Amino acid sequence: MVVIFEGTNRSDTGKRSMPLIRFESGIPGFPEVRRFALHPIPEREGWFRLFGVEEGDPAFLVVDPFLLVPHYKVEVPDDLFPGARPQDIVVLAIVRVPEDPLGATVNLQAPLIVDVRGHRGLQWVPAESSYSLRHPLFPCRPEAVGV
Amino acid sequence: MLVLSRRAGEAVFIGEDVRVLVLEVRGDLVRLGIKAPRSVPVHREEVFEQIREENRRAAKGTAAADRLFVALGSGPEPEDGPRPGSRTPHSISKTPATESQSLNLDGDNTGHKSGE
Repeated sequence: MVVIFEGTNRSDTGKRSMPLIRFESGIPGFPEVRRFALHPIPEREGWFRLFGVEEGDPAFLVVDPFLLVPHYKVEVPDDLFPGARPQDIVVLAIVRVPEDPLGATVNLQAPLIVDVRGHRGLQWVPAESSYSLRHPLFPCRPEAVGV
Repeated sequence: MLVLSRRAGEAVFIGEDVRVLVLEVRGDLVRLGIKAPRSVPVHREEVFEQIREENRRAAKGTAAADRLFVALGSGPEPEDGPRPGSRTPHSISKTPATESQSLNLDGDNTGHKSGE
């Protein structure tokens, strides 16, 4: 059994702030960090900061992937979070911003799956994916078109 | 490292509930069938390593994010300049959550559907 999330997330239409989220297996690269907070970025609908709550923990810029790629689709097992309803699940993608911010990329291959009711999260690493680990946030460089 | 020899059709148990079955051996290619509980993630090593590396790079956090939004011509200007320390959770948590930008916890997300 799988649950397919596609086309929309609308994680930005909410009414309440996100409390702590527990990443039971950590986030690859940071296996020891379990407790994260998710804060919306003011005036940037669909954009969030995800950060570990302890001093020195990592911080990520994350975005609603459906905002960037309207036909984005992710398939996860329906027992990923036992007891969670599909409408409780929010899909987010980690953004990497290099020195030149216009070279920013989004990890569409391994999105974060968050159960907002159960306060649980994980990074979903699919066995196969047609999406890029480094999807360009700005596919066309402004200077390439003389802007 | 424990080294075991197995033929196609033979399996190895890791703990009580992880079973690794050798499906086929052809030349230098081995096909494995892995049965594990959902709580045990199974990944190809190189794919997992790429994701780990990508996460480490992405964890530059908010200084980079601020640069991005500044580059876009708006958004949160760093309060006291984009210095390395500005990516600590403490400075991030200064960012206030406002009602209209918060996650929806009330279950009226749309566009989700169940497959089989």
